[in-house]
Amino acid sequence: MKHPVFVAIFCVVGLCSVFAEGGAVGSEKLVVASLSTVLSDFARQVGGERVEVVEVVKAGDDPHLFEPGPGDVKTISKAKIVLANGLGFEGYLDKLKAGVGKGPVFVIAGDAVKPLMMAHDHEHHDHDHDHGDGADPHWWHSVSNAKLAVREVRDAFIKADPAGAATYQANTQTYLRALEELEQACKLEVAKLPKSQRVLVTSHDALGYFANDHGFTVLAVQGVSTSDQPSSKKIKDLIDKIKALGVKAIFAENIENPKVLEELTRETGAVMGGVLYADGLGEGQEGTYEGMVRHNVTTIVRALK
Amino acid sequence: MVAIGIVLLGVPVWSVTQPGEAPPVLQVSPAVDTVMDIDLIIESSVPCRVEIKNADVSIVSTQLESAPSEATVPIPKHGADLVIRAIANQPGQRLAVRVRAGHDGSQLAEASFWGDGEVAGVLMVADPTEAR
Repeated sequence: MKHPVFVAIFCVVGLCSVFAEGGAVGSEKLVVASLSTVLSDFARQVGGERVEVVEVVKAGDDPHLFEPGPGDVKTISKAKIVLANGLGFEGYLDKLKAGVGKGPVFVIAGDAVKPLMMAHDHEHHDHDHDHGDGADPHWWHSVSNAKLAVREVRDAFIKADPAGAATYQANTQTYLRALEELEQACKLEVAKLPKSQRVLVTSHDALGYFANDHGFTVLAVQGVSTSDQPSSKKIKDLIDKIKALGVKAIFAENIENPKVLEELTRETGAVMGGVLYADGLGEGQEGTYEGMVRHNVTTIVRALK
Repeated sequence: MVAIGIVLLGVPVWSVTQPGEAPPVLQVSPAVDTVMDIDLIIESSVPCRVEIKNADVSIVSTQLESAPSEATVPIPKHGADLVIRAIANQPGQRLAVRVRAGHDGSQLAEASFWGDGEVAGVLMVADPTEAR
């Protein structure tokens, strides 16, 4: 066990809050704790007025570096449902489950989606494979996966709150139609780019699903996590590839320091193409899943065209 | 000899200092082996205006009546995502459009799009060596 002290804190805080409040929800709404800004939006879309979404991970947080504190564990233990990305994205998930006990039901969206295996199914991408042979956890960058996750959220809500089944069904149907339109809009937008210009240079390797759906090659400074640090050889190789492919633009991320990317622009002549939302939602227009996807697609196409 | 030398020296000086046309720029055309011709067959359920774009450049723009329309267009050899947009002559009319792409007698891609009054969609044409 890597962090016995943390586990102990989780267990004590979690059990205290369960005993103190009897695991009660505390309001008539279905209380849903979310470890992902994307899943928070799905929960609001599916649940509407019937759910209260508690965002444990908020817009602007780096979810790769996030660790729930005692206050978060207390909050989560009061929820009836906990939403998580899964596929290894939340490295603390097992500890958290142990900490909150049997109160909330954990819904792992990654279990419902079609995962992209980094080492095997990703042949046309340019990953370094320094993240191992597991699945890429950034599943939401494929809208078809988002649709699967939304259905998973709906099913969990119906199970936890059968009285709201009709509402959850209707809301999901409406939202899935919007996601169909979003998927189509993405295809039409990306089609403006010749295939030869579909090279995506980003801070960290988070857009593999998007690349897989739309025929892009990804060149990332870091690996699949923002905590991965690139070697100087990797940076040099990246510079050589960017120059060889004539890449016009490279992209920063909303939660990352763009310093290394700015260095890349100086070395390669590429320009900064804009800021992408790789690990979750932003604020304002990018505060919804639809807004985030539209922002990313239009930013990429406009810069690479 | 001196006169010939002056003339020979003068020609390049004259040509450089003349105003007007810029020196010819080398026109880089896509190499022949990077482009292939594909045959498109476009059909629709009702009369409509169809436009097909490759990389945001219009490659087909036609008025469809009852008979299918055919066109041969160049696309990059490694494939292209063609955007199909059609607008029915009568606004709001239920419209279905089918587009087929072929190369050397083999079908590379086919897609149908439906809508009320107008349709938009993407036909993904793969590299023929991958499609076979």
